[in-house]
Amino acid sequence: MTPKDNNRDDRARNEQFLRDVLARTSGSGCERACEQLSDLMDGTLVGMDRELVQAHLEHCDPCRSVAVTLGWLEPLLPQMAEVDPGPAFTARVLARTTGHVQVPSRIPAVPVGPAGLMDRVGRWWDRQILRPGFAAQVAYAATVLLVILTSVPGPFREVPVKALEIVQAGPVSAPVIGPAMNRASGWVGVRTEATVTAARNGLGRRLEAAGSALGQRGERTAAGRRDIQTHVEQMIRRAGDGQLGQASYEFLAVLKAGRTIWIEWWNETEDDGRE
Amino acid sequence: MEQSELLKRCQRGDELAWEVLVRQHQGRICSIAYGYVGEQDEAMDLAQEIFVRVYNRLETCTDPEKFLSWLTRIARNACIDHLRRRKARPPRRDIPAEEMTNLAAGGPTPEDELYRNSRKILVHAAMQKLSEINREIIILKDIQELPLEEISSLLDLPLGTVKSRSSRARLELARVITDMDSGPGGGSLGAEAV
Repeated sequence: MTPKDNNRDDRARNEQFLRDVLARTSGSGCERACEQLSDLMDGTLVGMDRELVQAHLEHCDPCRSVAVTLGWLEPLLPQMAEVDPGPAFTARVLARTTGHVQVPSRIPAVPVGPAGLMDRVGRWWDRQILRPGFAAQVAYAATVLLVILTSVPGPFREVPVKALEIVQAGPVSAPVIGPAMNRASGWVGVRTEATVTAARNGLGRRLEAAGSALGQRGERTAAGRRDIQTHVEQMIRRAGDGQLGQASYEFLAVLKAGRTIWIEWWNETEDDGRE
Repeated sequence: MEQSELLKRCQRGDELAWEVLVRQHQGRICSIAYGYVGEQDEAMDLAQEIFVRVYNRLETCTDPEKFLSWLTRIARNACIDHLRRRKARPPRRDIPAEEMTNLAAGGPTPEDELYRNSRKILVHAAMQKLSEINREIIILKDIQELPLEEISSLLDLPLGTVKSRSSRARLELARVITDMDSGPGGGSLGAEAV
C-alpha cells in the first residue's frame, strides 16, 4: 500500500466520521447548502455564508453535482424560449384559421411573351452591369463597333471626321447635338401623332386603342430620351475637354437610359390587350 | 413592424398580418406547449390549437401593449386544458428522451450544438418530473423570462410566493437532472465545472 492510498483512506475515514457526527447532532448541511446555491450562482451570496457553502461543496459530491447542473442550466433555459416547429407549421395554422394555403415563396411570376423576354433581358443586363471590369469591356466593344461602322460604306462613315471637327472646335459646338436631338425627337413625336391620327380615322376602335398605347409609350419614354440627350451632350463635352474617363461614364449612362427606354416601351399599357 | 398596428390589421381580418403574427410567435408558443406536455409532436399539435384559439379570440385583445401577456395566458390555459384531458386518457406513447432529437436546427450540426441540444432534451424530460407549479415557474420565468408581476397575475399567486418559488423550482430541476444524468447511461452531460 502506497502513502497515496493511505491518505485517501484517511480522508474517507474522516468524512465518514463527520457524517456520523452530523447525523447524531445537527443533521446534514446539504439542504441548507442547496438552498443557497442559487444565490451563490447569482453572486449575491457573500462573506461567511459564501465561504461556508463553498467549503461544503468542496467535500460533498452530490451537492457539487447539483451546483454544476445549476451552472449550465441558468444560461441554457432562456435559449429554450423558442422551438423551431418546422416550415410546415405556419402553413397548417394558416390553413386552419384563414383557410388559405400559404404561398411558399414570394418570387413574382415571370411574365410571358415579349414582356417575359424583356424581363429576362433586363435581368441579364442587371447581372452584367454589376460585373467588375464591365465598363472597360463595354468601352472595348464600343470601340470595335465604331471602327467597323466607320470603316464600311454607309451613314456612319463621315462620323469620325465630324466628331474630330466637334472635338477640335471645343465645348462651343456641343450644343449642336441638343437641337439635333430635339429635331429627332420632334420627328418621332410628329410620326407618332400622325400614326395615331391615321389609326383613329381608318382602323376602328382596336387600332385606336393601340394608338393610344403608342402615345402612352411615347410619353413614358420621353424622360429617357431627355436623359440620352443630356448624357450625349455631356459625353461630347467631356471628350472635348480630354476627360475620356468621364466621357466613358457618360457613355454608360447613355446605354442605361437606352435600356430604360427599352423597358418603358415594353411595359404593360392599359387597353394594350397583352398579358 | 409595430405590434399594435399588426394586431389591428389581424383584427380587421388581414390574412398577411395574421401570417406575420403567427411567424413571430410560433417559436415561443411551441416552446411553451413543449414545456407543458413534454412530447414534441403532441406539443406541435397543441400549438396549432393555441393559434386557432388565438385567432378566434383576436377581438378580445383590447390592449396591444399587453398582447404578449394575453397570448401567453391563452397558451397556458390551452396547455392546462390539454393536460387535464390527457389525464383522462392514456398517453399515446412514452417517448424516451434519446428519441427526441428533432429539436436540433436543420443543416449540419456541430458537436457543441448537438451537446447543447442533448441538454435541452434532458431538461425537457426532467421538467416532466417536476411539480406542476415548479414546472410552470420554470417555463414562464426561466425559459420565457416573463416579469415576476406578470407570472404572479398569470398563476394567480402572490408576488412573494412566485419569488420564493423561483429559486426552489430551479433547484428542484437541477436535482432531477442530476439524478437522471447520474443514473444508468447518464453522467455525460453535466460533467463540467461550474
